[in-house]
Amino acid sequence: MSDQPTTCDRLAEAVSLLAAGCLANEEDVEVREHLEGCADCRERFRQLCLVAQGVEHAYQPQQQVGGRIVAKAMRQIAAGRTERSGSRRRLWLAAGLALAASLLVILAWDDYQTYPTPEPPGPPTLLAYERAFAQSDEAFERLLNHQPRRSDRPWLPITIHALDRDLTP
Amino acid sequence: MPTAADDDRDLIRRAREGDLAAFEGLAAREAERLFRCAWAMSHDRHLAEDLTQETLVEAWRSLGRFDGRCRFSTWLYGILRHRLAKSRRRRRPAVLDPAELLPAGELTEPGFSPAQAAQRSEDAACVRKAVASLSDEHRLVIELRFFAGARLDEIAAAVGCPLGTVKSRLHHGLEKLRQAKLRLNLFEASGESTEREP
Repeated sequence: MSDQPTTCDRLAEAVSLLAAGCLANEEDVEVREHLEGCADCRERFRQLCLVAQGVEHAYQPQQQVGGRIVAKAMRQIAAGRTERSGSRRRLWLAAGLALAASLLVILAWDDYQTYPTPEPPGPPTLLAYERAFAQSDEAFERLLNHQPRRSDRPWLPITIHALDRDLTP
Repeated sequence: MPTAADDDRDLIRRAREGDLAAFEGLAAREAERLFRCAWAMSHDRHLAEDLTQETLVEAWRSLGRFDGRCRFSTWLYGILRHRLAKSRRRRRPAVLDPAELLPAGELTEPGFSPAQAAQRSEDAACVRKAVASLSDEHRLVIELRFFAGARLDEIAAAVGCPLGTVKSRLHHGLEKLRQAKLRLNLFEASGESTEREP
């Protein structure tokens, strides 16, 4: 038995494609010539045509929806066009704002570097109380009424206590 | 006399220049087949509608990148494949939902006797069953060709495989269906005309 494929084997795929209606013209002539002379391939071709027709016939959607889809797509495209011109304006605005913000940050940083932030005032020291006491009752009273910040608060009792102790004869 | 390809070229040129009506003309030609292709690939009718719409919108946006080396429809099928791959809702039921297809009993055109109509309905049901029994890759190519009406190059673009592979899958898919029909001895009973124009 020869290992060489027969013409029938070689053209089997082309016969199927012809039955499916998608054989290129250049192959078509050779296949049709072969079919004319080969009863087996002709019968196979006949059967394949029936199969192809059967499948085509069996698969039919209930309704055509292409028109509806195109209408929806066109609405989306038209909306996108309007959106795009609006979004271009928004893009320029955002870019301008970003630029302004960058300039502000640069200027603020420059100021910060030139004038360092002073140390925040701490709670009144014992020396401050002594000085106020020596200065006048009014000054001492003002210092006593000093409202410390939340972070200063733990120091206040210690300071007052130290003042009491120091002022006790 | 201008051919369909010339017409396409003209519509594409005008659409590229921003002519929405020209693009609508192109889309209207392809939408139904594109939808059927999306349906065959996703096996989800609603997802297929969304994918087709997304494909058309994407095509409009990317029209500048269409270089004309393939058919416009083939290019669309390529976009569709990417949209499907990106879709996170890739639930794939085993077969096309028969409830969405025309019931087998309504497939017969007028002019058939009740006996012939019954025979054809039965045949259609058998064919659907036989197609459902094919492997995924064979079934997809068969559905794309016969349900979506896609050409070989369009199937290759949609599936993302070489043209030779598509030909081979189509051949083997059809051959398996023929063998199944042979086993059921359905060819002798049929008296239909068989000749098919290529």
